Amino acid sequence: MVSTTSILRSTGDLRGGFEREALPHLDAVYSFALRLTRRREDAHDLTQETFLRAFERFRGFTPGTNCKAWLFTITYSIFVNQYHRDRREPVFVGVDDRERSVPVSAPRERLTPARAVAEADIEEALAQLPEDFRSTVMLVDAEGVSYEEAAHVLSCPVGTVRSRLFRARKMLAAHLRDYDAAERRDP
Amino acid sequence: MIDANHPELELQDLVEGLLGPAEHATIQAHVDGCVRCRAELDELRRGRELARLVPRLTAPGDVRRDVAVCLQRASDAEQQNGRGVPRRRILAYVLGAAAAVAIAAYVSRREDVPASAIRSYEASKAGERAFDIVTSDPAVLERFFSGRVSFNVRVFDLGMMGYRLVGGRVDQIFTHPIALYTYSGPDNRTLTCGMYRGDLSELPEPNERRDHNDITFLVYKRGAVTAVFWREGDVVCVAMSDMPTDEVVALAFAKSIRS
Ligand SMILES: [Zn+2]
Repeated sequence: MVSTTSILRSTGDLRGGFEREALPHLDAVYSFALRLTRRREDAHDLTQETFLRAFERFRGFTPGTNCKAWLFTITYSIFVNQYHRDRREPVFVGVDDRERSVPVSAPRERLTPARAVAEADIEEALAQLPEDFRSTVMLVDAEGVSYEEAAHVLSCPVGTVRSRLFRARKMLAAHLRDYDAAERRDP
Repeated sequence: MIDANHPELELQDLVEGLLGPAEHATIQAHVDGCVRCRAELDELRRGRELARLVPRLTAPGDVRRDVAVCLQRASDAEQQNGRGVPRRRILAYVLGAAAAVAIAAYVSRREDVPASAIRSYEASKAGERAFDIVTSDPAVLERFFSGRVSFNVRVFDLGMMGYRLVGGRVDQIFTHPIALYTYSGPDNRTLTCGMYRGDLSELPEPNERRDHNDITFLVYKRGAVTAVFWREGDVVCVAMSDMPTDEVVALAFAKSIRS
């Protein structure tokens, strides 16, 4: 294992450490960024800025902790500050996550035709979730981040992660049920 | 309103296995006797299954390239003045003229791969980087890699040359995951071989270019270390060692397979 001191010794070591610890999560960060922004160009910029900021802050990263969750925290913070304002979906102004509903016509990221139908359907179901539900599902279910880590990434209490996950999973199940019903009608 | 008599979030905790034994028993007993909560529990399980099927996407080539360019510039700037270049300037640079970006990306990646690979070799040799698996059996290592990288890794048996396999790991040379494995040889020499998905066009001008059996080998010498790169299909192979350059090249010739 590389120790803290050897990572921090020089710029070369810093870069080497960053390449080993952070860069393997490039696909995860891009996936998260694309699901957040739902536009390839925005996901591209968000991914790039995440890694640049992460590199600048890498001396402050504690080796042995979850580097992927650390990167997601940076991604989400940039997203909230720079992309959130002009996101193209209805803004929900409920006081309680439980009071929210699913947007009717959320724009969707187009999938390549080669993708399986089931995968496209999951993607569509995910795209229909409100943004903070979607980000919670991405972190906990898709990326295996713990409730506590997800709460840190999203700057919210653990209880909120728990309740968002509850609502989001129910919405996804409802979508799957509709899909199954549609399949039976029109196979 | 939510009926206080039916558990809600506790059902999710039940699905996740987060309940203590006493609470688990209470909730389970309720579910067993409540049609509504059983349906809810099924729904939550289905939702969780669906959520876990959300696929991990692969970052496109232009994203990888631009991230690489950003890091190269940030790292260069840091090396020169000990401080970073303002992030805005780096991003503005990368987002600038497409042609300039393409050239910069090409150059930076070309410079990066052998340097990055040799750094990894030296870390192995110095014992600074642990192996993911320690084994002297090439077959064991091939099986280990098959679950961790998306291409087939051949692990050579070099016993005839007096080189004993020590272990391997999956490392990262810039934006490429690489399967690396290391041998220990006579005179305290170390040999590390690696394979990653990529192309030789990313590499800088080599010290030497050799052709053998219709395969092109790019030879880089950095101090006492020689690195030889060649391509097999969409995989790039590399052999790195502190043994004499000709021996590393001969080994690469002997172990390469024409694609
Ligand atoms: Zn009930």
